[in-house]
Amino acid sequence: MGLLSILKKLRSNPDKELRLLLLGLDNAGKTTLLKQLASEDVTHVTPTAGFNIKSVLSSGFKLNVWDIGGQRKIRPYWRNYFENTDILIYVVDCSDHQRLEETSQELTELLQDDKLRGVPLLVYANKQDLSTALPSPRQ
Amino acid sequence: MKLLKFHLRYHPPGIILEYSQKGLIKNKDIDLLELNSNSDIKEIAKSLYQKELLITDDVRDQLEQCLETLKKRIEHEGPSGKRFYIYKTLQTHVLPLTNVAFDKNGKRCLSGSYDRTCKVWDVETGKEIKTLTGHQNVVYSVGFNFPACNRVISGSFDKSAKIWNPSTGECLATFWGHQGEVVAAQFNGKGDLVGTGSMDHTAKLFDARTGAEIHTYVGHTAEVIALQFDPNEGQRLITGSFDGTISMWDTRVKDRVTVLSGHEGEISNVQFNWDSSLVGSSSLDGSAKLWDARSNACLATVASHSDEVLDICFDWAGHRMATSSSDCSARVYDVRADFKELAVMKGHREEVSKVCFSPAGGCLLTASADRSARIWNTTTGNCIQVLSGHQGEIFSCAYSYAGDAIITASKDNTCRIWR
Repeated sequence: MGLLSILKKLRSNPDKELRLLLLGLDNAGKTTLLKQLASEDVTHVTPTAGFNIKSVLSSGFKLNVWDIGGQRKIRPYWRNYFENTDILIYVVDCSDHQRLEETSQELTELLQDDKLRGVPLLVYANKQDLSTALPSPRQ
Repeated sequence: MKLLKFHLRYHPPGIILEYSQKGLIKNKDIDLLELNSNSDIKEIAKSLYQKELLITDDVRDQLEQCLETLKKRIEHEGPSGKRFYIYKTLQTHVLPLTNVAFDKNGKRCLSGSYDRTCKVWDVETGKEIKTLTGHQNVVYSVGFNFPACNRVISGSFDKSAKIWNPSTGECLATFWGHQGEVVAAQFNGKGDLVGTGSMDHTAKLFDARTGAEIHTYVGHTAEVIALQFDPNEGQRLITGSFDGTISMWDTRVKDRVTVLSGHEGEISNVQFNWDSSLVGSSSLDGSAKLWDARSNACLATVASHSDEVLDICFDWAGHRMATSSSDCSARVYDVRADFKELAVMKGHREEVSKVCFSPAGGCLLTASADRSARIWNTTTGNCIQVLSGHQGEIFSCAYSYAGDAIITASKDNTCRIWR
């Protein structure tokens, strides 16, 4: 990684290279999703205090996936990472009933930002395997 | 002409003769770049006495004492000398760090962060002196105006650069105009100009006092990620770009003076040596090149790394350069005669992203993605010490001018001071 490779990944994307941004509340499963995408071990995942970046090859595309920490105190910094985003994936913990309101508020705020205008959004209803998970239509 | 005083200059080693001539006080710099721990002081004093009219017989003892002090300083910082211990962990940034810098006397240091601030620290106490708040995005590049160190320059992903007063925390000027992230920003030697490099493919020159733009340097065809004023006159600027070239500019004209081409991949860093006669460049093509800063000829290409070269630096005396690479190693080369590889530093388990010499030149400091920084003997290539403790990869590191302190900055949101 290093600062230089961060600058490389900041460049406006050439063809066949996409920038994916993973956002969502803390403990939603963003880092696990990132590691899963990169075929890495997901048994030990710790809270992200900053960000993680991984590059994945898929169907001839290079996907630069940015996983950004979701703790409350660092959410105001999410827009540091909006520039040149091609796809936004918003991860929701479906078993966290208490914070559904909070997660929807954060998403609403996100979508009002100019830099994300026109960016395709995927809402990822995570943790569907848990018995306490709400079915996705309820989100 | 009458000699008034000897002044010592530690790095690179030299003495400055202060003398009076027709009522005016003048300085004459004498470089002693060859001085090392084996030097014969009496010999050097004798040859200086023979060459320099200012040095009379009655000050020869004094001269020898000065040279002895300089020599001791080099020995003191030698590889067998100092060991570093974690002294302070600076924990008030809430997001990963970017770059760091010491001031001239090593009493304060700066850290940039993803939390949009630059912090000024007291090295002795580990206390935050000021938080420089005002940038709207990541603070990437930080630096003092040398040698005065009463101003700070910061470059940010918010497309601006700012000048600050580090004592009051006040923002004194904001430089706008770039269309992309500002990833390099530096004062010239006099402190009246600021140069910036940006992801928008341009570099700019600003008036430090008024904030007015003087030139936009157009010519690179990709991101400008490295920039440096020549350390001597301060009239030349070099920039390194992801387009694979290095450009030289003049602060007095807006058109490009020269392009140094030959690399086959993105430039990762570019540096002048201290007398501005050489330019060193490192590239993701796996090589590093040395250029003659006047004739612009490529003097040497070194390609012993087996992967991308991520950083390059010269030692203070300008005898050697060091490179670091994704191949997990750092290397030291002679830059005066045959460009021979002098040492290889192997031991890091992941890429080595930053490299710098200790001021006296006996040690090399490296920062790596393996979460450690290491100190190496520049002669043997042996690892002297591993600085471990960071919980995330280390993005940047710096040596204080006196060689008695090191800072490392990490993705783990902390900055550490080692002494």
